[in-house]
Amino acid sequence: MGDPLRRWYATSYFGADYFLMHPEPPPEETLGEVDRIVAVLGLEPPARLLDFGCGWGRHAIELARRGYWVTGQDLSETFLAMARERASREGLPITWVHADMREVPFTDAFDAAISINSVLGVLEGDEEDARAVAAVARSLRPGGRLLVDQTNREHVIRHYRPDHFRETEDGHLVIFQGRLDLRESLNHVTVTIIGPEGGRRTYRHVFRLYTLTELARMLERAGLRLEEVWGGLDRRPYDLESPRMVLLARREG
Amino acid sequence: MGTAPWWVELFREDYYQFEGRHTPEERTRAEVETVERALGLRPGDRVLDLCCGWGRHAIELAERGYRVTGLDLSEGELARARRVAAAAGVAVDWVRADMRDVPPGPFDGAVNLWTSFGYFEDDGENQRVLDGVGRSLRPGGRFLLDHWNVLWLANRPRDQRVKEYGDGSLMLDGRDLDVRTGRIHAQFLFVAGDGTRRRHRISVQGYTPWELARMLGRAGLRVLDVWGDWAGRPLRHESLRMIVLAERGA
Repeated sequence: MGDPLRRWYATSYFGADYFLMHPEPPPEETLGEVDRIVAVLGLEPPARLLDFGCGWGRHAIELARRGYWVTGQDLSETFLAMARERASREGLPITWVHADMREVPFTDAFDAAISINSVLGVLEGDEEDARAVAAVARSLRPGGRLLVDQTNREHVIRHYRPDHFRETEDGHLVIFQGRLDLRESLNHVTVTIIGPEGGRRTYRHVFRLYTLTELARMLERAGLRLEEVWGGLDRRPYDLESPRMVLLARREG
Repeated sequence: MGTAPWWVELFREDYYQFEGRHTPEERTRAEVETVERALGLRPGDRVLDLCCGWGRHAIELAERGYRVTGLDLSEGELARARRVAAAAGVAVDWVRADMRDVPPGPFDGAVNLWTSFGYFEDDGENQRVLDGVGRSLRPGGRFLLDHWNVLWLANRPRDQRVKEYGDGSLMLDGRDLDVRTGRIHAQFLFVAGDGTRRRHRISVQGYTPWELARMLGRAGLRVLDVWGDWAGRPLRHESLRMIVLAERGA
């Protein structure tokens, strides 16, 4: 717990350089993802949705366009500023919340919450992730549902590649070097960005790779009953070869 | 980059500056010990290092008392080899030539190390290299060839590796096997400490062990063993290297 590295998520990682590491997908891809999220949740607008770990609002904004009543929560001010700016351009009435994941300032408020793109596993430890899940569970109305989209640990392990790199069109070199800690099921990643002029910036981060079993138990302990497991938002079967692990759970009561 | 073949560009200077000079001496010594054992060398034996580069194996072999011929096409690499050999006080017969023009020998043993084979697009040209080795070895002389293991590459599409050196320089190595042709396409991106980048595209014909055994057979060489690494472990799918030991018939 005392390892300052485990607080990497609260540093500049989720800032401007994030887009060099993970370029924003084309709009069609976001539209497709939102189509699938809506299909999985089966809720008609204007249902109340929480986008938990909303980043710069890629999904939240599209959901608001479709008439949902959307709240987006994230810890990154940089991302939230982008989200606000994009949403206000279209006059979308989204509530943006700047808060740690363990503190969701709502109770019995949402018909559904979504947590897309591996939000769980970045906090300092399993108990901290469990607190985040408990917080999001409390924010749901009884019977409300949580959709969680995580990296499939089994796929990561089977296809683990310690090194990969990419050159961006504007001449940045982005180098990922990974190391698996199998005892703790942690993926340590060092990202080095070398600018066109040779300047270097380094980011270190740690992801907890949860098994399906561990994640399902974490949801259950938070009073969420697991309803479905898929290998992607497109509801393909979950197996060793699915890159994603998608869980749908319902708040009891 | 000009229009010269990739190996002319790569081995002019960049390979040594960005990668070769970081090779630990212990590795060279360990590899040469394996060469001595595998080829069954006796003191004073004549050894050919085909595509010797800057001579890290050739010079180590000469220091151990063998009579060594080092052949390479790169004038720059050979100039370095001459300097290193002179500093070490050993004599090596350095030959600047295309690998298809193997000196007549006869040699008691020959090596072709560190992926120095399969450069030509045409299998016939690559066969010529082995034919030359076969002719230059005495009957019973042995040949050790060290190459990528295509069986491993076949299961690792678009494999990428990052090597970091203490001086802040990096080697980024991306490679992909064309599973239809067996051609291995690699890109080496060297990054100096100050961020300067040098890029080289490499293309080498990969051969399965059984293909190579047939080619060696046509050159009068019979395969004795195939390893997956320098420790002499058997070749497996997941071996990075393919090290083939062959012997010229009597």
